[in-house]
Formats: sequence, structure tokens, C-alpha cells
Amino acid sequence: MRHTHLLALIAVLIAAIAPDLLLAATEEAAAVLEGAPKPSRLDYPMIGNVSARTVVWSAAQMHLFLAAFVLAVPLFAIATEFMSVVTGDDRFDNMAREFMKITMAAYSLTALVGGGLLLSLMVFYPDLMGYMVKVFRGQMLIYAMLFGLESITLYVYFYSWDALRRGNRKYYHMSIGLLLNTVGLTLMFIANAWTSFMMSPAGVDAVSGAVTGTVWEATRNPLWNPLNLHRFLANIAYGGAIVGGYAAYMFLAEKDPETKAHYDWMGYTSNFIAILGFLPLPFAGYWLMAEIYAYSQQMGITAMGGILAWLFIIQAVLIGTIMLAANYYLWSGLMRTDRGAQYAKYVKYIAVVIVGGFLVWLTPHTLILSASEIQNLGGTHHKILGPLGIMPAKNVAVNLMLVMTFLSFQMFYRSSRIPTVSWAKQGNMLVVALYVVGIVNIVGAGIYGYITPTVYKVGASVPQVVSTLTIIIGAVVIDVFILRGAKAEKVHWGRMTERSQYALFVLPVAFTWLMGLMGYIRSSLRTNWHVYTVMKDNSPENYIPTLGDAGNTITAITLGFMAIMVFVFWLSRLGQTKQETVEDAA
Amino acid sequence: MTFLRVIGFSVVILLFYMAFTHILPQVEPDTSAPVEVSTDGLDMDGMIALGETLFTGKGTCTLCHNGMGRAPDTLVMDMAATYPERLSDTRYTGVSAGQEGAKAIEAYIIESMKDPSAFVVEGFGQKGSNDTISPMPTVDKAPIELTLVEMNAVTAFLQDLAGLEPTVPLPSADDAPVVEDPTSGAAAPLLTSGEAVIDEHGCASCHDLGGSGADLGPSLYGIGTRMDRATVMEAIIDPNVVIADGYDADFMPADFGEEMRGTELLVLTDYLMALPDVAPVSDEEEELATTGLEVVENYGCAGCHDLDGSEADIGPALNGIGTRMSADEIRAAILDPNAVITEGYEADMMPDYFGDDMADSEIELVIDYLMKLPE
Repeated sequence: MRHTHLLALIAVLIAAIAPDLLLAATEEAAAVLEGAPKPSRLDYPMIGNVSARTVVWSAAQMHLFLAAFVLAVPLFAIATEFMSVVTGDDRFDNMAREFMKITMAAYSLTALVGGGLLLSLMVFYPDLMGYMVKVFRGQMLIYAMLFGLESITLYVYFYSWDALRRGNRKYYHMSIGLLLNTVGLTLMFIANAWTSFMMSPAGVDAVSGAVTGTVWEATRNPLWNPLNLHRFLANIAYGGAIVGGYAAYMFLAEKDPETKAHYDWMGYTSNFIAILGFLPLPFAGYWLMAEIYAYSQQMGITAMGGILAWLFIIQAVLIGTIMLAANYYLWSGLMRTDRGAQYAKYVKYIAVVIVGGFLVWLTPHTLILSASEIQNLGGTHHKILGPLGIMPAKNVAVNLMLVMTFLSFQMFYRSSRIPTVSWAKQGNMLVVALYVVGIVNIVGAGIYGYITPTVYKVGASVPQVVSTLTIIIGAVVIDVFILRGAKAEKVHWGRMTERSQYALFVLPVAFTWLMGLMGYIRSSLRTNWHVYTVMKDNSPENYIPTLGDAGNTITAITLGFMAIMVFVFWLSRLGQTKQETVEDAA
Repeated sequence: MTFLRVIGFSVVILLFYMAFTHILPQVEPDTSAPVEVSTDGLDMDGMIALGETLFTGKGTCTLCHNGMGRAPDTLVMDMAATYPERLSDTRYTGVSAGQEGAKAIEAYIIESMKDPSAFVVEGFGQKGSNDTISPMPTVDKAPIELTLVEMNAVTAFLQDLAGLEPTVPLPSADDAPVVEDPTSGAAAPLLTSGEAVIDEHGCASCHDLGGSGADLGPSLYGIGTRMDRATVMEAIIDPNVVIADGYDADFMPADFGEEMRGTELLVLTDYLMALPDVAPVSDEEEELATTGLEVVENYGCAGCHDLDGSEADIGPALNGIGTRMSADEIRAAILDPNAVITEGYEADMMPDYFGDDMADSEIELVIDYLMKLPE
């Protein structure tokens, strides 16, 4: 069957199952359509002393953790598989398969928790769910169908690995992987549409909430694409971090040097993937926040300068931890190569910049102070530290931290390769110049941010981002050419300290907690609205919990998730354990 | 062993993050139901006071109208000169275009709230709109949802701020009530009961209220039978206009209108209007305070003294009093306040019954508390 026929068939099927997806309510129909429900406090079902919000919060966050992981891993599994085809190195293929093995065990748990989330929403927030079904109609059925397709492709992709491993069959296998990722991403985009609709509703009447537009209009709400990009990148970073944690655990647990070397390499690759996803993440976050401001200035200010401002200080601590841990791991990696020592002398300078950036990033600006505190401080802002709390300083800090993290990675990469091209010296000078000019530009734009009005202050961050990306992309491009035909030094995989493996553990723990925190922030931005400005949340728990309460809940959910992941790792290890035969034992 | 070490390490990191959330300032959520109060009887001073609190509270105007450059800083600018410029601006084609006078300014302000893009001040438009689209939300729609009366109140406040005589109509019984939802997260926790407002502002330290027996101001029992609602509100906002027989002017702080949120003023008025004619007799023995702070709160010291930001100035500031007076001197000042008068303050201002009303333990607690108060 030709592709065009197949697409036409899919379109007809979708139209038959869910015509609302493509058709708007007619004007006559819209006129009589009911608006969004207006439940009173008593309309929310109560089950004893069970906190409805905590149940839904926990189920949603746990589902998100698991789903982010099982959607991200196939993404870099197929990328790794592709690397095996390009390089002909079977280690990539084996590692990609091992990535998928961990995913398999987590997949059914994702579905289980997703079912729990749906049930808890229907039990505790029936009016909201009723309204969401009215808005998204047939799309919810498509979501269920895609979920079935995701299951089929996932199982086929994993179990056909060895059967479709060589020759042309490998391309069939990768095509299945491509389909799996397409379906997985589509599922994520659909779920993102529901979440972003609750923050920035579209396709409904602005006053009554009556459904007036198509499902597509509701889907393509103002915050959908920024959220898609942010979650896509975060998933990659998150998936990399979790698999890195798995590799670190296996490295510590295994005794055989060869196996240790394998897991060291796996840990390095996972950390690389995590950083790769992480480097552009602040910029995607910046875009999301800029779109939030554009959609509702009030919502933006509530996040960044209002009652939620402190959360971004916690976020800074978490990201700082991630940066320090990832860099520490990269610096430790210099001992894997014999030439690593000549780069190690630069580590202390990088460390100073990263720690300095970390401290600037966590410096608060707008404080909630009592009168006596204001008196002691001599004003509402600290005279010396206050200026470090505003965006120009933080933008400088975050960009320099990213540049330095990339430098750490580049140092390790360079430590195992000696350039042989004739223009190596000039090329290296060009790389140094790229860093110097970029850093000067980042700092210069930061200083400009202090002497210009707020509106331009935001604009000053653009050249900073461009500088950071120019350094990274420029250095990669130069390295590609300068290291062509380079003399390769041996990398002693497995020559790593145990302490460095704990740095790899910090990443998944901090990432998971950070995702929990960001979920709390994103949800709190709606304040007392289920669907912002359209459907009010009148439940008894419609207020924003304190930081401490939120911290307790996020920690409890993260602990639950870590327990699940330990179970998944254990299952995965169990799968490769063979009982000794009588002869072996003898 | 590796397994346990890894688990232990992860848990320690998580507990560190959790502990960090607890050492940061906690903004306690206000979990009470929305407050709904009538504005019937509100006079123009009340409207101005309500408007000011709406401007900084429910209206969330100061989120952007501040010195940060997101919107014109209306509270600081010379609006008396600015309004006529706006009305005569060639880019403005709204309802008051080319007109003059306070009534035209009223229409302009109301229009700017209902249709913010009717005129966008240069440099403050949405990016790429060439100052034709305002980023400001429409304030009579969600999530702000100001009623017409509330928009009139904000307009009255802005007109008053510009030195103009407010021209907005006063609310009537038919107007929608003022509704404020404490969970909207827009501002500091809202006081939603009359008792809470009285506690916060220490009314009972001067007026006989809640069994305080204070007589520096008239008893508030039965005030609903002696005054109408508008007069009670006026007496709170502008106390020197309404002086009861036997009491002096310039005694009650004149800034309650600024200190209270609009709905708090209305809730307090409702509460006072419903008070019985005489103080109810309580059979229960009052529980003694167990901390100095409780004593300070129970006896409303901050109502007259500047204490932790109350900024009251009828009596001397209590912050740092331990560096200026000994414990015995503080005790003497509580038991016999007229014996020694601090320079710049008058005698007979502080009630002399605290020695009788406070238990000995409470006196010691409050002295200890005051001695430790920082500057």
C-alpha cells in the first residue's frame, strides 16, 4: 500500500472515531452549549480524611516521572543503535539494548500509575474531568489507541532486537524504533496539550468556558509548544540521568574489570546524553516563561516576582547540584586517559566559576521580610548581594556555568585525541578566542542589563544565549575538523573512583526532585483555577501549599519513585542472572 | 552493602532538599472561603480607601504599575499633568479623546481598565505591536474580575491621587457585593472576619471591645444603633471627622484606611454594626497568655506603639526598648504609665489599667519579651 493511501486511511479513521477533532461546534450549537462547570465546595467528593489533592498530585507526578523515563530512553536507544550502524561498533548496539531492557520493566508500571491517576481524577475531580472530556472529546480516544500502539511497537522493538540485528534487517528494526518514538512523542504532545490548556485555555469562550472551537484549537493553545520543547529536552536529560544512575550502581556492584569497564563507558555515555539534553534546557525554560509572560503578565509575575519566587531559589540549588555533580564526574574522567593530567590543572578554575555562578544563581532578590528584618538589613534589599539577585546577574551565572560544563566535557574528549592536522595550533587558538570573546560578550551583556530598563533587560539575555550556543556549536565544529585523523590515545574505561559514581547518582536524585518542584510551580501558577480564567477551583484544597508542605510531598513522591527504580534495576539484573547447574556448582 | 550505601546516599540528598524548603520563609495559605460584603452606604472617602486596597490587593495593579518598568508607575508619576496629556494625545481615540475635566478622566480610567488597548502608553505595548496592544489584562474579566463598584473605587483612588475631586457614583444597595477570594494568591493573606481585623489593628486596646474594658475611645458596643453604616466606615477611615462626645480629636490613628484592605474595612464595619448594645458577660475564666508575644497581641500594644512594623506612633516605639530602659522601668511604665512620660509624647494616653488586667506572670512575660526586642 502506498504511503498516501495509508495516510488517507488514517485520516478517515480519525474522522470516523472523533469528528470533533477537526470540526468546530457550529455557532448555533455553541450558543446553547453549557459553559465550564462551577462546582461549589460541597460538589467535590470527600473520602474520609483523604487529601484529594495529595492523591492526584502524587499519582500525576509519579506518572510523569515514569513516562518521562520510558519515552526518553527509546529516543536515545535508537540514537545509540544508529551509532552502532555508523561506527560498526557492537558495544553501542549492546548498550542500546540494555537501555531498552530497563525501560521494559518500567513501562507496565507507567501504565499502572497512569490508570491510577485517571481513576483518582475521576473520583476526586469529576466536574473538571467532565469538562476536559468535553473540550478534548475524540482526542482522548485517540490517546488510548496510541497507547496501545506504543505498547505493541515497544514490545516488538525490544524482542526483535536479536532477530533483526544484522544487514538490512537492522534498518527494519530501526524503523520500528522510529515508529515507537513517533508514537511516544505524540502521546507526550497530546498529554501536554491537556496540561497547557489548563494554564492557557483556547478554543473555548473566554468568559463562560463553553466549547466553541475545534480540538485542534484547544490543543494549539499558547503554551503548548513551549511546554513540548521543554519537556522533550528535559526527558532526554532525565532519561540519561536515570540510566547513568543504573550504570553507576552496576559499576559499584560488579567486580569483574571488564564488566566494570562496560558500565563505566555506559555511565559516561549516559552522563553525556544527560548533559546534552540539559545544556539547552534553560533556554527552553526561558522561552516557556517568556510565553507565560506574553500570555498573562500576571501569571508570569506570580511565578518570578510573587509568592512563588522563592521556588526558583530552590531550583537554583538543585540545578547547581546537578552542574557540580556532572562536572565533578567529567573531571574525574580525566584519569581515564594518560594525557588527562595535563588538563586537570584547569579544573580548579572551572570549579571556581561554577561554584561562583551557583552562588549568584541562588542569591534571592525579592525577600519576604518582617519589619525588624528590614531594619537589620537596612532596606528591602541587601546592599551588596541585592544586585546579584536580579536577572542580569543570574543570566551571566547560568551561561557561564553552561560554557564551563561544556569545557569540562571538551577537555575529556580532547584528552584522548592528539590533533595531527597542520593547522592544529591555529585551530586551538581559534577555540580559545571563541571562548574568550563569548565570555566577554556574556559578561558585557549582563552589565548592560543593569543600566537599561526592565523591558530591554530581558532582551539583553538573547546575545548571552547566542554567545553560549556559538561557543558550543563553534567548538564542536572546529573539533570535528581539527581531530580528523587525530592520533587516538587509549581510554582506560573502568579507571574511575567509586566517589565519581556517587556523582552520577546525584543527577537522577536531583533531577527527579527538580521535576517534582517544577510540577508544583507550574500547577501553582493557576492559583485557584482548574482551568485558568475559565473554571475556578472551589475545592477545599484550592490554595497554594507552603514551601515546606510542598517539599515534604515532593520528597515523598521522589522516594517512592526511587524505590520503584531500584525495583526496576533489580528486575533488570535478575533477568541476566543464571542459576548455577549442578556441574557448575561442583 | 553497595545497595544500602546507594540508597542511604540518595535519601540523604533528598532530605537535604526537603530541609531546605523548610528553612525558607513559609507563606501560609489562606484557606478560608471567599469573602462577600455589601458596599451599600460607602461614602467617597470609603471608595478612595477601597480603591487603594483594590489597587494593591485584588486588582493586582502594583504587580506591574511599580518602579520596575513593566507599566507606568501610576503611584509615583505626576498624574495630574499626565491625564490631560493622554486625553489630548493624537494616538488616543477612545471615549474621552479631546475632552477635559475630571469626568473625562474618570471615563478614561474606567476605559483603560475595561479595554487596556484603547490607549497604550508609548514603550509599554506588547512586543511587536508597535504600542497598539497592551499587555495589561482586562480587569473586569477573569482572573481579576473587578466589579463595576470596585472599578469605580479604583478610579476614585486614582482621581484622588491626582489631586482631583472623585466623580464616580457611590454604590447603592443594588450593586454587586465586593468579593475577594483569599486563595487567589494575589496578595498577602486576607483578614476575613471582624475579630481578625480587630486583633490585627489592636482596636480593643482603646475601645471597649471583647471585654477589654478600654475607655480611651468610645465603647463600640451598640454602635450600630447609634450610627449608620457609612458613618462607622468614615469614623474608621477619617476618625477626626466623627468625634464622639467626651472624646478628643487627633487621638485615633488616621491611617486605618490605608492599612486595611477594602474588604477588611467592609467586614469590620459589618461586624461592628452587628455588635450588641452591651458587652456580653462571660462565665469562662480567661486563659492566661503563655508568651510575651501573646500578651502583646492580647492587649493590642502595637495599636499605639511601633512594634515589628506596626508603625503606630501614639506611644514611643517599643523596638529596641531594652537598650533604652531597664526591666524595672518598663514594669513601672506598664503599671503606672503617667509617672514617667517619654519626651515628645503626652500623658493620659496609655491606659492605666494594664496592672489590674494583666496577671503577674503576664507582666513578667511581656517585660522579658520587650527587653529582647531588637532595634
